[in-house]
Amino acid sequence: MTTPATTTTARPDAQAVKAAAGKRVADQLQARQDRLAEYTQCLRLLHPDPADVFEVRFLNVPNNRWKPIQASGYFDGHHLDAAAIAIETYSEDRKAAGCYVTLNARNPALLARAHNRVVDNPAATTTDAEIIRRQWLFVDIDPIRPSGIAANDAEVKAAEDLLEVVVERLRGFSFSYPLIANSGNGRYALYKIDLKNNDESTAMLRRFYAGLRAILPTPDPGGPSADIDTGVYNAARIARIGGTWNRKGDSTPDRPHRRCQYFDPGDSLD
Amino acid sequence: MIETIPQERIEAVGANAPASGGNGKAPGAAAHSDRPTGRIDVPAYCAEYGVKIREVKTEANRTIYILETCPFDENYGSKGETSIVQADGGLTTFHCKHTSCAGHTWQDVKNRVGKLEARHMGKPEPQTRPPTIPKALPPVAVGTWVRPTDRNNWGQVTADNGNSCEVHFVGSGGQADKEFPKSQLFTQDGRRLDDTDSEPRQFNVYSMADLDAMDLTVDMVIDRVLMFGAPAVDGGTFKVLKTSLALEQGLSMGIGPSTKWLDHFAVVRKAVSVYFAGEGGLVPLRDTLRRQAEHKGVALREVDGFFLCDEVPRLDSDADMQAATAILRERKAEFAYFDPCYLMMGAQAANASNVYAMGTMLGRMLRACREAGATPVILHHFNRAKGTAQNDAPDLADLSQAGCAEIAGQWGLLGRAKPFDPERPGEHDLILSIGSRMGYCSKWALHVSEGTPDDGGRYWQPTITPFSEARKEQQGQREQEREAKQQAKLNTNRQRICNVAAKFPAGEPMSIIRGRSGLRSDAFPAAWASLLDDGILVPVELRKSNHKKPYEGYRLRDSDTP
Repeated sequence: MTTPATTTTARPDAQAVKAAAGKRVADQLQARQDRLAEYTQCLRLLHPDPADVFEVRFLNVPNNRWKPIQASGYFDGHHLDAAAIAIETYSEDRKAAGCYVTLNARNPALLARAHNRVVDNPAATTTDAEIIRRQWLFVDIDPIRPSGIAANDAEVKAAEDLLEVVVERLRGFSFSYPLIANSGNGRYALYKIDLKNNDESTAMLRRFYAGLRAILPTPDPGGPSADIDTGVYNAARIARIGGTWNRKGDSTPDRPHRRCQYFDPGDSLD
Repeated sequence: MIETIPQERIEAVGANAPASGGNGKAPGAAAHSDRPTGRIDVPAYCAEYGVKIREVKTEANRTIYILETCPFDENYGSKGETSIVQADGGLTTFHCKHTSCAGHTWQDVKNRVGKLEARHMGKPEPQTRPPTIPKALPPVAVGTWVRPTDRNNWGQVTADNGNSCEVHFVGSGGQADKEFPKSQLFTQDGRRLDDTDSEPRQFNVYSMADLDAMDLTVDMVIDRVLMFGAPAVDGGTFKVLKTSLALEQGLSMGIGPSTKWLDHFAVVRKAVSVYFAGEGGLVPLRDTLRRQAEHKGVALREVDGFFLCDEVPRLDSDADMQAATAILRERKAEFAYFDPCYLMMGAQAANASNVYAMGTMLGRMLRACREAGATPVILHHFNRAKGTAQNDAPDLADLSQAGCAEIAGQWGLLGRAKPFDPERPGEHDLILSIGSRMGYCSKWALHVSEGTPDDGGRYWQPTITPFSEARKEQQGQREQEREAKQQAKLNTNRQRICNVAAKFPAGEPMSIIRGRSGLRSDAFPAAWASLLDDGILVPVELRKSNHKKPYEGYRLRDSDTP
């Protein structure tokens, strides 16, 4: 026959538990605030004119159905906070594989597609023809690796090295120091330009990328190496947003998912 | 402020494009040759110029140096709001959250604090990449199917040129073969052609003779319940003591053959288990374990073969899985309980109905357990639709979401034989269904009595009987109850007939008595016959003045006349 069990319960210190929980929550809130500030700062860097209308786009957003979705929204410079909150939602909560922003100035009428908000599965996103002016010369440096996976540290280092070479070589052409970004796996160098969006500009940029590649060292076939992407001359080009996650493939110890970071002009290489 | 690049400079770079006859030289190669290069040693730089670092934080891909005071205003910095951040790649930035510091950059810090010199740099890094000695790359057979990194179409190798291959693409017709460096070509098994380090994947293949000769005995740890080596799934509806029964199972194996699981199933040998518990908390878990150990006659602190972890690892987290594997290895665990499954899915929880996504996640768990030499036991919930209906026998198909039923090599499923009664919270009538791919299978009626804190305290008392016997016993009881009910009804009917007959001491025909009793035609005959059989009613001859012949009537026998 059974006998009643007598148990004594060691109660944890309630005050300590509450304090720890409070600190955790405060840390999470602070981290969120920091991220929101980073998104806003990135958008302000890329689109300093408040009248600029830009598109934020989220690719491969996991969905309950079988296929990930795409989401997109248009914002102006007066609604950077709303954009930052949308980016936080899609990057942190909905685990989008990539969060992007358009680089060049577009027709302000496009704001009516999704007025300072983000919609899932948008009917249309920005096309090259909808760009009014080209504002950024975008140099995208990617490690050479199989598609769909994150880079390992050695490959990231190769991209970092190539970025230095790119900046140095372009300094030889009297280019100023660029806006630098760590895209997670590779590096961005963004040079300010002001060109009309027409066929001549597109052709000139195609030549620029081909010329830039020609003056760079040949990628090393024997080890981790990086190369510039020469296909980024299209006007509606998008770039990752600072502070968001770059989630390519599965995150593994040697190929982890990383955050994108933009560095202030002047913070760059020296 | 970033300077806008004029069009002429862009065109000057474009002039180097091969199609324009560019010479491929680097005109700017010598620019900034006097600039210190390499990674900045921030602590050294700060120490030399008297900038005090309060704290150093290391995050995933950057190091944050929090400063005592802001270099631009000594009044700032007391709250750790001023910092220098260095990414792992070496890029260095300055951050201060005060409005007056907005726009200050690392360049501004250097201008204000002091010039960056070569001695402030960490490991010097070469300006350009050092020359590399090409490795001897493995030869590639002609005809091998390969795919370049930047293309989606496959082609066949037509020539191996050492560090490169010529590839002929399907559908390219008469076009010339293209040459690619081996570093840009992948084979169909995902291996890069210049990859000399990675071992090709090995699978074990057994001939039937080898397989037949192998020593593959079933290592049953709890007799006809749990064997070593096959993933197990314990499932059940809400609050059917899944956790408690799994805890007792692990505890029993941790004690060894001197005890039995549920006082019935023999523990064949002692086996170490680690229980990852994500639900419940330590207080109720310890309470349950103490009661179970006391029931088994051992002190909980003396059980050395059972370990409890108050968290479950996330299957999508490499760090979690490595930590869990390390625990299993360290404790030399043979069984790993994961309770519950849904808390382990992490970001993949949204794909819980997708068997492919779940298969990948559960596959990670199986691999981790295999590496640690442990057999996983997953605790999982049933579908909500299964409910808690009485005598609703549980089935593997009742397991919610995808994947768990598919990987189960053995299972224990719990349902309710009787609905939970809040007025008897310590009493549980359950159905336990046990099965495996090895063929053993059984169904049990399980009664667990736990008592209540207000009525003599809590304890642990399981009673288990084969489900068929319990069902027979249950049926026998119901039969008896039905018979007793019929007998009571018969007695009532007999009494009503006797009451009517008592009003006619001389006797009356049966039709008159039946009419007066008010009994229906299906109830009257049985009661009437039993009264006649017992001799309580006796037949009499009745004569009336207007009848020439006597007719049959009935009256109570003399002793029964009221």
